[in-house]
Amino acid sequence: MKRIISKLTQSVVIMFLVSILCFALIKMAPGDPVLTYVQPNMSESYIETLRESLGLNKPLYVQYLIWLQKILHGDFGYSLVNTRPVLGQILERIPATLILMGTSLVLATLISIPLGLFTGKYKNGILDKITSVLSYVGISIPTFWFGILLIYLFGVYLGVLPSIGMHTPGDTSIGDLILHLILPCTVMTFVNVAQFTRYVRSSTITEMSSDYVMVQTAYGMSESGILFKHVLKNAILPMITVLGMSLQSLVSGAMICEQVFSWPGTGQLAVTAVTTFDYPLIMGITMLTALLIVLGNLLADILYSIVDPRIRNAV
Amino acid sequence: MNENLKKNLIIGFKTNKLAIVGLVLIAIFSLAAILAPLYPVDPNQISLDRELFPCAAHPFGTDDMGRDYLARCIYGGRTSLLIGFMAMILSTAIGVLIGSISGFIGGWVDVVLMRIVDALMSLPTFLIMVVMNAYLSAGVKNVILIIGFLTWMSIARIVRGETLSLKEREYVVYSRISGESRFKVIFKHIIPNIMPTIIVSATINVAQAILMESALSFFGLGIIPPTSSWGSMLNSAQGKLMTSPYLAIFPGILILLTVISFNYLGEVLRKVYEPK
Repeated sequence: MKRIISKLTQSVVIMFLVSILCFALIKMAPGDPVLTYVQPNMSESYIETLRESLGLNKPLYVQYLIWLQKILHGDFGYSLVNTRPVLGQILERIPATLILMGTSLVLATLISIPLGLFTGKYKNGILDKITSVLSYVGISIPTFWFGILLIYLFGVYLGVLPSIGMHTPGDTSIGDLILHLILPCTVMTFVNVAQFTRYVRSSTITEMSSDYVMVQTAYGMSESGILFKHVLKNAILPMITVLGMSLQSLVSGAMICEQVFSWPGTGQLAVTAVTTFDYPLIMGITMLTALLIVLGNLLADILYSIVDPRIRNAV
Repeated sequence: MNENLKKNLIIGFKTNKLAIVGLVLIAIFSLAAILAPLYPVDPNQISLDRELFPCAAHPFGTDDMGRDYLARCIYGGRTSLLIGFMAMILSTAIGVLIGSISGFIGGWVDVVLMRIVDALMSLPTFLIMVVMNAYLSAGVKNVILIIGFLTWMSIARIVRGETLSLKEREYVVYSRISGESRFKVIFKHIIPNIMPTIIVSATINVAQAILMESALSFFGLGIIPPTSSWGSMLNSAQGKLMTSPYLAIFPGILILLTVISFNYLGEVLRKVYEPK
């Protein structure tokens, strides 16, 4: 409990620092923010009043506090490009991102745990060697390049799979969505499997060489019994932490993937926001993704201390 | 480097043939980048032989303006590798400095620095890279700065951890007591002793930096014409997938080979330095 509270305060501090960073980035933005509200027929004095009403002539820390208060109330301001509320614009893009990230995350976990367990058990076997090379390719391949190769191969050359967007226009069936999901999901799953398998494999190897495994082998317990009853449990525990830790790179990967496959998620929105210099939108996305990552880390930490009594009782 | 380490290093590479391949590849690419001006073909020479498939005269074919693609790949690699190495040097320097100060001085300095590291690590790197790119203008120098300032955190964490365990050692405690300043102790005793860890992280960092640069440039944000890098070459190749897919394949394979070599090298070095 004490551990969880200290982690919680840490997360709040981190979010506070992130918010300062975001605020600084907004303030550094080139151009006078008041100009976006100015119309040609406005008088000098009216612009000055406008500046005052926007709080732009207050000291910086007051401006920050006002901004922070607004954010805490869910007011992320308005997009400079289409003047719609930032929060609404982000929220409507989230389902698409969740579908893509969620599917590939689940698939990656389902593939990498048995694969890591098996390659860890039969270290230096033929499957282990192949997996090892493939996982190096997975962590080294530029995500976007892998994406365009798949688009070329399956979308252009063979022409069997849709490679752009989430739906065929006019078709909103699940089947169509799944077809569109295959290519971007393959890219993300492959990259994630490469990372996760390495962790599961190495923790399996550590577990296999631990004393309790030796004792049970000596007592005549079957190899598969040990593997599935004990090693599996201990080897996948660190996966919780790994998942939490890899959220950051996962989000970055999803953004790149969305952009390549024109997937209408938050990542694509972010790149569009940057290319149109839509600062409120950029900051909104940055704040919300950072919040997601911090919460994910916190959740991983809490979960881990729940399932692992050694940590729960420590500190 | 002591004798024992040297022996381990030789054994490490001898038992790992792929690591030798990686090392050779890195050497070839680096040499090609440095000696690029010796290659007789001008990468900017426009000709009428547009989008020629790879042939004897043009081993990598030609691009949409009839420029020799092998020459362009060599010059592109020059930019990509330069960014990779420079960004690595920058991020390693920052990471080692912050990490060792944080670990050695401890107390509130440590708390503040580590929370800043946590905060920076909670930001989606790619998004921040894109955002910073919007503020700074595109170009090699700015890309190096952006990547360098966004990738030092993991090195700082590792160095901090090592420093924490090192500062309890007798010789470090002794040198503190005998009146050496904190910074002198850090530079004389701490950093030289964690050099192996730093080298391993730095090697993997080059791989990371090259990947980041390629992603940034691929979206038309990092390196933009007239300068070209492997990433920006992929950006212009994207539109010509239908007619000349090799334009997208060559730079991609070069990125993959370079990054995989650095990652593999880092792994082998880690095994040599931290035998379990």
